Amino acid sequence: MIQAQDTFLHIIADNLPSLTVHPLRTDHAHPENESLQMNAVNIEFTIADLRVQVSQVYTSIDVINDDEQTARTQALQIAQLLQQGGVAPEMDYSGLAATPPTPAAPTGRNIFWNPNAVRFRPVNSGDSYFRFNCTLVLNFNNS
Amino acid sequence: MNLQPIIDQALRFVGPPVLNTYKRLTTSTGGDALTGRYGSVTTADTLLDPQPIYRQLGKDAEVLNAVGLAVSGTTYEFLVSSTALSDVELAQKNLSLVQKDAAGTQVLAFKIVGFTPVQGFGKNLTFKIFADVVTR
Repeated sequence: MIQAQDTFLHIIADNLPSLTVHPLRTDHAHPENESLQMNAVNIEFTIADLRVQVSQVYTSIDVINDDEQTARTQALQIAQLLQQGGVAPEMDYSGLAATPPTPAAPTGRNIFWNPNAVRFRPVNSGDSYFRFNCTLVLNFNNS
Repeated sequence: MNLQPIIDQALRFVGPPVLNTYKRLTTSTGGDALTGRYGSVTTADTLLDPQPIYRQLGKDAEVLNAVGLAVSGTTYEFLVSSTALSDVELAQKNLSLVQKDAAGTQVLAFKIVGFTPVQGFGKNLTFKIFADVVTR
């Protein structure tokens, strides 16, 4: 599951380098990852439906920006990227933390999502920021 | 008028606390921050001087919730002199607090969830720091 999540983060970050991708996860050593970031694309993995073969993890993409038009433009960029195809090779990024680091390697499995289900909707947007959320189901193989 | 020495003296008078409070700066190098696979993670602990006084909020949390602070009854409130911590340091997201006993053994670690300055005479005199325990 971690490899699938890592791959999805890199798909967004590597293909849209002009965006700031901010992963959200509980990490007490890095508390900056525990809260939403302004002017960034916040990605959080939530409900996990774990099965023997194909599992799912709900992926929440929050585009938060102090300018609504920028947020909508960034959401469109993400939607266009995810709609280019609904499948990508799963990669193992654990080697990046090694000394010396080794490049990401394919696991031989795929991750996939429904490219027609990329739907952004405004959430809790106040006067000082605009929040655009898309919840996507990310599928991955366990074996 | 410089109130800071008086405030620092008052904090030292109320202390010493049961546990010593340190500011902790966590620095990560190398690896891949996006996936949380860091090359190395190091921490630097600095004893706060003067030591802050602290308490758990209890029912006062309701009042703070009303003004938009996400705290609970078990959240700790630290009253820290601006001599010990600056607003620039508090703005750093990799800053946290830890408490150690007299032998230097870490007992509690805290995540800072909010802070508010107490100002006077054109400067920050103290900070009220709200922090949740993350080690139990």
